[in-house]
Amino acid sequence: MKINNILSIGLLVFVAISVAVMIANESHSNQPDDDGSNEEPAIIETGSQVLPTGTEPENGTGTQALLPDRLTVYYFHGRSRCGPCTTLERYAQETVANNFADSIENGTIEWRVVNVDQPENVEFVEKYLLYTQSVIVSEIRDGTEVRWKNLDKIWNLVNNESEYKTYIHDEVSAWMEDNG
Amino acid sequence: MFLIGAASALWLGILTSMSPCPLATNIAAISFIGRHVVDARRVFISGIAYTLGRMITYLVVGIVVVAGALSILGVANFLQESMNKLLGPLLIVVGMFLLELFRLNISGPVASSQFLEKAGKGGILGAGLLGITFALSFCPVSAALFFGSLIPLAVQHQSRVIFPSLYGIGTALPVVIFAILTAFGARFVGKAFDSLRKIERWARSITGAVFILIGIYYTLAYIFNVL
Repeated sequence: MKINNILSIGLLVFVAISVAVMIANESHSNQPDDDGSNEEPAIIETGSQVLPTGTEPENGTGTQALLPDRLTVYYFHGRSRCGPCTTLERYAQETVANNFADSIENGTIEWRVVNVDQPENVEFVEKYLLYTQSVIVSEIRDGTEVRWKNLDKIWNLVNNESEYKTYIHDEVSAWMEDNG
Repeated sequence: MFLIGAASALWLGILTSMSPCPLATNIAAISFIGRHVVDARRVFISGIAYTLGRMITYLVVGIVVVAGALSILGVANFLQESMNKLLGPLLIVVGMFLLELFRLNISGPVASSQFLEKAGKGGILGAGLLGITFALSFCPVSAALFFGSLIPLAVQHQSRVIFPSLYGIGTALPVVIFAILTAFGARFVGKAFDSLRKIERWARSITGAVFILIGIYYTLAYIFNVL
């Protein structure tokens, strides 16, 4: 009986702390910042075009000089990373790295991983209509995005590595050809 | 053509349920539905209630987003963000009820025993509510398959009711089958050792423990962001 009491009190305290943290986080995220961090995201020069600071690669190809005409292949994820989500990212990253090494080298293809749960990246959610972890191909001309596409079949192919990689490869290749 | 679409909707649901991402909630649902080892009828009815809960949820969410009342983006991101946070504390509290840890904390011994009697013997409404809660707790896989595949399919076939409902049935089907198999397995063992009542008590305790552990996991992962 004593163990039950200790267990009950322990769990209730844990639940109470969890709810308090949840409410505190929620009210904090809804509060406008006084320090100016809620302003328009700062921009940095990357090659000859500008990008929001939030697009700094977490795990990307960002060391080379990027051309003003190029394709950016994004992998967008949130704070919670499920098993299939990390697989989706790995397959896409491997496909781009292994099949388009020259293009990455000369700056015509860029691979970027972006966490949309970071405040500075929230704009991508609206821009690309993101509702889950996604691979987006974006075409940039003269430093300005002219079109983009959500490769939304990735979720249906996640259990088939070769079909998944073929899908990414074919889509990126087709966009490269269109790009001239 | 409609039949192929309908089969795809059902398959998308099964695919969602069998992906690793809702595994924790599926385990909780299997133990909750299958815990009535003695009463096979109750297992079936709980399974149907759980399925109905999921079905109604996807139906309502589907209707809301297809009608354009709320944006897919807003609904998908809100449910993924908020529901998973609420789920942790909720599962812990339900688990505590199942383990009867609240017996000492509810004032009035008569009231508490009646309440627990009801909660323990009932559970059909609970299974339905569990179906609704778990269906609302979208994870990246279920969000992708529901908002990215099922909704466009439903729009394409102009099926706002049947396709989301079939998807809901698909998400519940593997869980209900496993729950029935678990209950029958436990019943078989209980009969073999002539201790059916004991097995049912254990099943209830295991369900409570499973709920608490999964609740702690969800809390650590989604509120404290440590997993």
